[in-house]
Amino acid sequence: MVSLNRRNFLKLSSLAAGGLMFFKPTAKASIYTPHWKKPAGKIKYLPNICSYCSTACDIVVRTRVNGKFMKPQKIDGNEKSTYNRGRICARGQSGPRTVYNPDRIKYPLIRVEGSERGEWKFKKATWKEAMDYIRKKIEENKIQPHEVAVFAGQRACAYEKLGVFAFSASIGCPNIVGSPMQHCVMAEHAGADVTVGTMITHDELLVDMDNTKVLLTVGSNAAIAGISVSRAVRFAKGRQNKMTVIALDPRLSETAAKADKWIPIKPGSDMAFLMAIIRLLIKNGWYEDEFLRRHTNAPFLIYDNNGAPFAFGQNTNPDQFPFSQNYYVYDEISGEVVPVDGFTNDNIGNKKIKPALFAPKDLTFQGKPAKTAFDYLWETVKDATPEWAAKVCDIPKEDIEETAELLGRIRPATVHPGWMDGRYEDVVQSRKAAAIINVLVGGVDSVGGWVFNPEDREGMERFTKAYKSGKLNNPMALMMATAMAPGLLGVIGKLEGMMLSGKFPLFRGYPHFNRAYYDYQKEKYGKKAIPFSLFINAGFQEAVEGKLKWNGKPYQIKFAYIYSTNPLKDYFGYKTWADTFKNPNLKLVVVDDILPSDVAAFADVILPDKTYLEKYSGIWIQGPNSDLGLRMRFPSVSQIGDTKGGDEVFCMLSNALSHGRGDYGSAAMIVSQFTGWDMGKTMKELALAWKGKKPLYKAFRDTALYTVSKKLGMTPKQLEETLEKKGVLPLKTKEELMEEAGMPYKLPVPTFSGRVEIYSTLFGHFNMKYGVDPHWHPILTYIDWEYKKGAKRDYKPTGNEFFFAYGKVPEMTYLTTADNPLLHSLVERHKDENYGFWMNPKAAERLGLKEGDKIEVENTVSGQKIRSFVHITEMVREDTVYVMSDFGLDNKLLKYGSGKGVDLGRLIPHRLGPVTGSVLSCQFTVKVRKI
Amino acid sequence: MARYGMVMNVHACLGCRACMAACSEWNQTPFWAEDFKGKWRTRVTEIEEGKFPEVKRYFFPTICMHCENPPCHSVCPTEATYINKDGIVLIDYDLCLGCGYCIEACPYDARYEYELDDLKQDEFYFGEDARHHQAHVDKCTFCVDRLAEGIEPSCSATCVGHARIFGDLDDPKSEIAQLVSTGKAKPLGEYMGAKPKVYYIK
Repeated sequence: MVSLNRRNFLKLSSLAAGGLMFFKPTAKASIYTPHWKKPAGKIKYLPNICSYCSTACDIVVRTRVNGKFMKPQKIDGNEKSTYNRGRICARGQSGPRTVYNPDRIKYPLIRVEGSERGEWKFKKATWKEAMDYIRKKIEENKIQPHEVAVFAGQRACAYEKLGVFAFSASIGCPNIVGSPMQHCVMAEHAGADVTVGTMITHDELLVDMDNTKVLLTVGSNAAIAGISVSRAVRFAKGRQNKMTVIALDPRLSETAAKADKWIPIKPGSDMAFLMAIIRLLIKNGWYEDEFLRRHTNAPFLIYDNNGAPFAFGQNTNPDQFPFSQNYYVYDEISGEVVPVDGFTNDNIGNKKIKPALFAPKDLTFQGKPAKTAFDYLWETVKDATPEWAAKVCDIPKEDIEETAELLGRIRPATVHPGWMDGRYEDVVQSRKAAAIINVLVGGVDSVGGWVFNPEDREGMERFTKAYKSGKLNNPMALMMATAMAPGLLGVIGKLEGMMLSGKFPLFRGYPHFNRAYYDYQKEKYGKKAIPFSLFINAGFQEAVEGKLKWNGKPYQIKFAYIYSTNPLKDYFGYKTWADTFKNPNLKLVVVDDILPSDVAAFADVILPDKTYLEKYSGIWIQGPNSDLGLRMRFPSVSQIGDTKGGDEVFCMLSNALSHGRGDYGSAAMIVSQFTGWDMGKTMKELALAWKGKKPLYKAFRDTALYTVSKKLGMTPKQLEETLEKKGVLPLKTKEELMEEAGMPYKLPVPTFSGRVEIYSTLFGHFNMKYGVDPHWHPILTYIDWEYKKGAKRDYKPTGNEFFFAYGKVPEMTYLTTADNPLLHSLVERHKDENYGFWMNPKAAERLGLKEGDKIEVENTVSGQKIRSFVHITEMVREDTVYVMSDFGLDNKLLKYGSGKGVDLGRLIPHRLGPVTGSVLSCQFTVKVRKI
Repeated sequence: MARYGMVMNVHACLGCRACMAACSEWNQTPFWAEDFKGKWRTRVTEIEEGKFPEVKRYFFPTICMHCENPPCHSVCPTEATYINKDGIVLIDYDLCLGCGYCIEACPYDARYEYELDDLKQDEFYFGEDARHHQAHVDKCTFCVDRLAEGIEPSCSATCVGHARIFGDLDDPKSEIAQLVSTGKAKPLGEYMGAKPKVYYIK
């Protein structure tokens, strides 16, 4: 244990003892060195919002301020925050190590004439030179607004989306790719989204785990101990309060390590487990009967429409949103079918009815056999016995029975809504099953359950009022109100109303390139579209290759602006992306980032971004926090190199693309619609930003201060001082909000029926619009997909073949943090488990492998091969190999992160899943060979 | 006068290592050392126990135990190691010879050498805010300089799982005193007689 290696230090001390007075002994006892002169300045605490993952914790930055010079000394969690409760993770702690990372890009770079994309031959430039170059390329190639694609990555997606929307509106460009969202959480959130209507691009809602008594986690380690601090503090508190945790995961994750029961389920078999749970909950009557009848659409009468369930009364027009006049339920009191409101939170209200969960046998309505949504649910699960599920999942059946009994008999119980995990084509159905369990046990906006965020409540109050007033009867008004509504409504409003329709006036008759791609796929291969596809990259390759058309004319992407994302790795399928960015059809590739990412090597121009510690922000609510509080960023770093904020770059690019006349008026309209900020003030401030008089982040700050201070009855200065002093201005508690605006108890939830939905009205609509498909089954269905050709769900790999699973380490946010020197050293300490493939000792023995042996891993579906090494551990199933997804960067300029661990982009192909376009990241097997 | 101590609740530690990062950011410990395996004042070590599927995974946080009878103290030839009025075991860097006896004497592996090369790296990463200016033996100080400003040690302040509970053992109302007095939390290796003030719930 004890280090016996004296190394340089002993040599030094022997010299000192020999009389070379290196030490200057003083009598004064101290830590550190008191006679060393401290750097000049005063200590000031400046609040900020952490930017390392989508959790967005409240932080306070201890800053040394000397005149205009500022330097952060230490970051701590903001103790006044009820969101992350004064705590932050290793990534949050290591913030200054990214700001002062020696690898940082500090000035613009232009690719050297005659070099190839990918080679990394750049020359230093000024901002003027870089922008002149960009303008020249735009003019030479006559690049039009719809020929631009913006890849708005992690920071853009989670923090700068207003800037992205303002840019898109200012030039009329529909082509936003908000990925990593697509590959990070979309597929995993979609099941919950369509059930309770939540959905805010990256982050959803918080589970009130402080008060939960039984928690089931289905994978989702990244959302809890893997780590999201706002959730992990609640998980920790819940465990202190004796919460029982059951964790499903093929490997012993950090969350599973803290569970009372770890169930090492076979990868890809979650659906069978969850269906068996639903069966037992219904069979034993372990569900919240009154809640289901009143606030969910479980009692809705459903008919079979060409093999797919569809609700009586639902709008059948595929070109309209699925809002409807009426739905129908069977009233147990009168014994008749009665209509209920098309959009409400409550099926019963003041009426004397009792909507039936189970319809009488042989009920017919409007000449068709009618059953309730709950009947359909029961029929789907009635044969999903614990014995059957245990076989599919390869676990003891008692584990299923015990889990069901805990969830069924103890309250409050809940299922965690989900986060990025290994993905199979039934991911949306299985997450929907998890959400349905949560609904059955009453875990919606309740103590110990899923709690909506205040923005959802405020938005639904506004939307419901407008909807009920009849003001939304004209289609354009309904489209705009839906697009600006929270949650699922807002997503579909934007997606179908603005992005895919090709009719949104701002985009000059062009849809997102996704739409042209879906048309191309349908025409050429008869394939269905990806219906839930907001801001995804589907069709980018084809758009670059010149395969797409719109209104008979070529629809070509010529300019890719890549802001804070690394498609070569983040989007899987390394070669697909490298080839696309090398394609000469792409006339201009601009990358804006903090560090020299892999994709930066493929740029024509690289622009240096600022970090979160260098910028102001607008006023934001605390993400998905259940309490309502306001917060803002205050910079604590003085200018570094010749960097500019990515938001400033949006204004510059907007002007470059519109010959100096970026339409900040349209930008202001969209921004004020989204935020509720004063239109006049927004216009004035954006004018300053577009004319280069003020960085966009300061324009947002000043607009927000002006508008929000008015609402609070303060002056902008008072509000700014309050926010600077406290970091968070608390306005309302979770308890007050649930009492005033409980959803669905007092207000509709953001689904198209306003209820919590067992039957998804949206998926019903997708069946009408895109054709019937089991992947978007409106209730629930078991999809018998294959791991590989001929390998059905009961497949057992043998010999050197394994199932594949991956996850993340708590010290990293996938690839975005891999080059932070401090975080790098934290993972180097246990690098075997971080960089190698986890394998069970029995499997290792079978293959003759010892710890650290070099291996080749081959994807049996795509044929991709990578080299790595083996880490032998009992913490993974015998039929599965597991690996971390946070490593594998290439760019040699990333001193710390480059060449470490496994690049999953070279093992997982770019194969988009059916509902949300998220890559099917685990639907294959691998073969492992010793090398 | 206080008698500071810490309780480590091994059941609560989530293994996120926020504590290690927090300590390193405040105290500028050599995360760069030994090819980035680093030298740390606090560590979280992972323990795997048992066979699949009955395998358990623990995260075990360690730190200087701030013993009341510290072996590191008695072996120090220059009295550089001392115990302050609040019971915190500290090192006077000016008096430290760097002989390393204390490193070997410590049964808890809590000390390491802050070498000449580390000083260079400290300056490389932290610039003029570098805090280490002479080679010395380094260890946890319970963030005594934070305590002087009235703030909690860096590691326990950020502990996400509430696994690190810092406080005054002499204050009967404190969470830590209650955990210790009820016997829920016990020191590691009591038989060695160093009388640690860091206690574990295992």
